[in-house]
Amino acid sequence: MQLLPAPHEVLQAIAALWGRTGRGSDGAEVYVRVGRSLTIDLDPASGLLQENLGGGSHATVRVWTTQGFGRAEGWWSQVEELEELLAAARASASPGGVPPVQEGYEAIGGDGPPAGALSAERARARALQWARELEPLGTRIQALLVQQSLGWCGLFHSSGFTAHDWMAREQALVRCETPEGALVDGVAAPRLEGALDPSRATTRLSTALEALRGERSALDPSLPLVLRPPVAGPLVSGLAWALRGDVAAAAPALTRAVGKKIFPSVLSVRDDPRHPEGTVLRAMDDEGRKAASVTSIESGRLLGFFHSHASAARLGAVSNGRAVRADGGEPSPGNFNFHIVPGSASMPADRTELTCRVETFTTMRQPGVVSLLAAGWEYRGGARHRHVGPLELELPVLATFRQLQGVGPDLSFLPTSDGCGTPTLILSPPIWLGDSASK
Amino acid sequence: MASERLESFFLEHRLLTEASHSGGTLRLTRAEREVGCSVESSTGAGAHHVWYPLSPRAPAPDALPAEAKSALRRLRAPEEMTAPLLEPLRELTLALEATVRQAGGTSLEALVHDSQQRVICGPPDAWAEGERRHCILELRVSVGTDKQRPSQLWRPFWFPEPGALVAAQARLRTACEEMTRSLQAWPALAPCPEGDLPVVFPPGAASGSFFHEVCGHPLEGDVVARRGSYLALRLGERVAEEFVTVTDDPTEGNSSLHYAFDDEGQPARGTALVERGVVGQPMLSRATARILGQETNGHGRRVSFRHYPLPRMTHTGVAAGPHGTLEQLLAPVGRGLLVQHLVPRHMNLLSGDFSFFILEAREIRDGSLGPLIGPGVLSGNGLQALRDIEAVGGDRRNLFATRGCRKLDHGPLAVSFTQPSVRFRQLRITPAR
Repeated sequence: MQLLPAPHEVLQAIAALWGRTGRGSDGAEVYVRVGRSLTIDLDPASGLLQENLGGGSHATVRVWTTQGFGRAEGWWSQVEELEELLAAARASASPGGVPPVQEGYEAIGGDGPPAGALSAERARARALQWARELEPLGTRIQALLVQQSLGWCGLFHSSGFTAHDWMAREQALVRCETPEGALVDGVAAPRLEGALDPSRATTRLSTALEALRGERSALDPSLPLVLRPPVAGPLVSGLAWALRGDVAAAAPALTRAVGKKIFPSVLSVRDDPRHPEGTVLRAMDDEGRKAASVTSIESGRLLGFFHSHASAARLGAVSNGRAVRADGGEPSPGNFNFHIVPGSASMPADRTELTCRVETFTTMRQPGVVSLLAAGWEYRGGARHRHVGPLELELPVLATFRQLQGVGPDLSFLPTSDGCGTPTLILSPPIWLGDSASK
Repeated sequence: MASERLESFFLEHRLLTEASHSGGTLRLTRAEREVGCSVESSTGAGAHHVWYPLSPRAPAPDALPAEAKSALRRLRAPEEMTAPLLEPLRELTLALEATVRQAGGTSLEALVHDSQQRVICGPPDAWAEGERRHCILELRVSVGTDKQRPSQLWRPFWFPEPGALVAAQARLRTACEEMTRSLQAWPALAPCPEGDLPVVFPPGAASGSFFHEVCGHPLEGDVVARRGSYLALRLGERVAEEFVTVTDDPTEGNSSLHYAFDDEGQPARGTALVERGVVGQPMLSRATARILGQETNGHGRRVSFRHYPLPRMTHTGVAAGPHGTLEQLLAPVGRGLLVQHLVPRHMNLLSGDFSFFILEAREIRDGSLGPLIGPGVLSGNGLQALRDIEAVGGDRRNLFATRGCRKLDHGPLAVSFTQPSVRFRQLRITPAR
C-alpha cells in the first residue's frame, strides 16, 4: 500500500498552500486525519478469518471570511486536492460560525510516531489466543474481533499555528450468546506493542455467566445496590455525556451548580488523556488545544464541564482541550479516559451485587436516563444468598450518582462503555430503579 | 498483502445529502461524497480485504483489473451524481408547515435524506454495475404544548428521488392534515395498559421492525453458521401457521430498498425466512455460504467500501395473507392495541426473548380504534409470538427504516420493511416509566 504522509510533509505542503492561495480575510484551518486500520474477524467454529485493512488521508477545511463560515471535507492524496477543498470551503461560506482562537494555545507535535506497526500476523495470533481463552466458558461466540489502528491528526491554521498528535490503538471485542441474552466484553490499549491480555475480559464474562444461571428473583430495594464495572459502565458513560459542555448548556440548573457540592463526597470524576490504564493516549484535542487532565467533580463538588471552543464560548468559559471530531465532523465536546476516581469503600455485608449486564440495543434511549438489563446476587452477612435478575433498571444519571455511598478500588476502563473507566459503585437505599421486578 | 488471487472487488461512489426543516426554515445539514474501492483476495485462512479511499486525483489501485479501472473512471465522475436542489425542497417544507398550522397544529419538523450510490462490484470475470437511490422524508407534526396531550406524530415517506418528493406535495399536505387532525381528535394520552393483550400491526407501519429483529437477524448467515439463534436451531421446523410467510427480498423494488446484485456482485434473490410457517433459509454472503456449504443467495452487503461484506437484510417482512383488511383484523378484538411504531430494546438471539419500546399505539375497543396511549414496552418470545399470529391481512405495504440497521461495528445500513395487517393472539404490554 502507498505510504501515508508524515506530519512534517503535510506541514510543508500546507505552508506552500497558504503561500499560493493567501490566508483568507479572517482565517482558515485545515484539520487532517491520516491513518490505517486493520480488523480481524474470526469465526472460532470454522477457524476462518476475514481481514480488512485500509486507510488514507482525510481533510476538513474550515474558513472564516467576510461572507461568513464555510466548510469542505474529503479524502486527499495530493496537495492540489487540499487546494480544491480550500476553494470549495470558501465558495460555501455563509453567515455564522465562531472563529477558533489559537491565542494562548501551545503548539504540539514534538512526539514521533508510537512504537509498533499494524501487524496482521499479530492480530491473527491475538484472535486465536482469545478464542482459546474463551473456549472454557462454554458459550456460543457470535463475534470475535481484533482491531488495530495507527495514525495521526493535525491542525494547521492560517495564523501559523500547527499541532499534531499520533494515535495508536489495539482492541479485542467478543460477543457471546447465552440463553439469557448476549454478553459483550473487550480490552483496549493505546499502543501496538505488548500484551492484550484476555484474562480481565474472560474473568468478567465468567462472573457474568455465573450470575445468569439460576432461578430468577426480584431485587430487594431496601438493600444497598452494588454495581460492578461491567454494569456501572453505561451509567458512567451517561455521566460523561451529562458533563459535556454542549449538553450542560441545555441544563441551566446544572450550569448554575458549578462550584457547589451536589454529589456525595465519595464521588470524584477525572478525564486523563494519559492515564496508564486508559484506552486512549492524547496530547491534544481535535482543535489543537493541549489535552491535560481535567477534574470535573472533586469530592462531590462540581467544578466544570468538558469543552470544545464553541461549547465553552456558549457558557462564557475557556476550552479545556476536549474537542472531538467524529468522522471529520464539527468539533464537539468529548472525553479522553473519563473515569470515576477509585476509592477504598468496603463492601456492605448485606447487599445486592450486580455483576452482569446483558447487551441491549441502547443504554440511553431517553436523554439522562440509563436503561440496563442486569443480573447478580443478593448477599446476606457477606455470603451469597440467592440469584437476582435478570432485571430491568431505569437509572436517572444525576439522581443515581447522588445516592453514591462508596467507590471501590477496582478501576477498569471498558471499551464497551465508550472507553469510560469505573470501579465498583455502591448505591445507598432506598433506590428508585424503575422496574425492579425480575424480567 | 497475503494474497493468493483476486476474488472480488467493490467500487463505490456515494453521495449522501440531508436537509432539516425546523423553526420555519430548511438547512442543509449533511453533504458527504466519497469514492473508494475494496479488493478481496483469498487466503488459506479466509478472505483478505484491502480498501482505498479514492480522492479526485488518486490513481486506481494496481490490483484492479484493466476493465474495472476503465469503469472506475466513469464511476467517479462527480457530474454523474449531484446533490438535490434545496430551493424546491424548502418551498415544499414551508408549504407543509403552513398546512399543519392552518389545520390547527403547532409546528412541523421535517428531515429529507437523499442517498445516491453507484456501484461496480463482483469477481474480475463477472462483475456488475448499477445505481441505487432513495429519498426519505420524515415528518413530525406537533399539536399543543400541554404535557398531557399526545403532542407529536411521526411518519416517514419514501420516494425514488427528490423530484418525486417535490411532485407529491398534494399527497403530503393531505398526510399533514390527517396527522394534525388525528392528534386533535384525542385530547389526552390514555395510560398504556398492562397485561397480555391482542396486538395488531397495521400495514406499512414502523412496527415492521418486529419481524426484522425477531425473524431477520436470527437467520443471517453468520448467526446460522455459529448456530447462534433460536431459529438457526430450527431450520425446517414449523413455528407458525400456514398463512405466515416472512421473507427478505432485495428484488421487489416497490417503494422498497432493492438491488439486482449484492455488494459482492452476486445476483440478489428473495429468501423465505419462514415459508408457510416453516423456518426456511438463511441470508448468505459468499463467506458464510462457504462455511455452510451452500451457494450464496445475494445478501452480502457493506456499509461502505471501508467495510467487508456481511450477510445482511435488505427488505424484510410478512407476505400478504388471506384475512382481508385492517378493519377485518380489528373487528374481533374486544380490547387490545394497534401498534404503529416500535423500536428495538432487547433481542436474545438464542432464546428468542425480545422487547421493544412502543413509541406509538392506539387502543382497540370492540373492534374500533380508540385514543393514543402513553409509552410502553412490548415483550415476549419469538417462538411463542410466531405461533400466536392468528391473522395476516392482504393489505401489504412497504416502509423504509429511517435509522438503518447496525451489526457488529458496521452500520447503519439502509433497510426497508414490508408488512400487511398482522394480528397476534397476545403479546405482553407493560407501561414504560
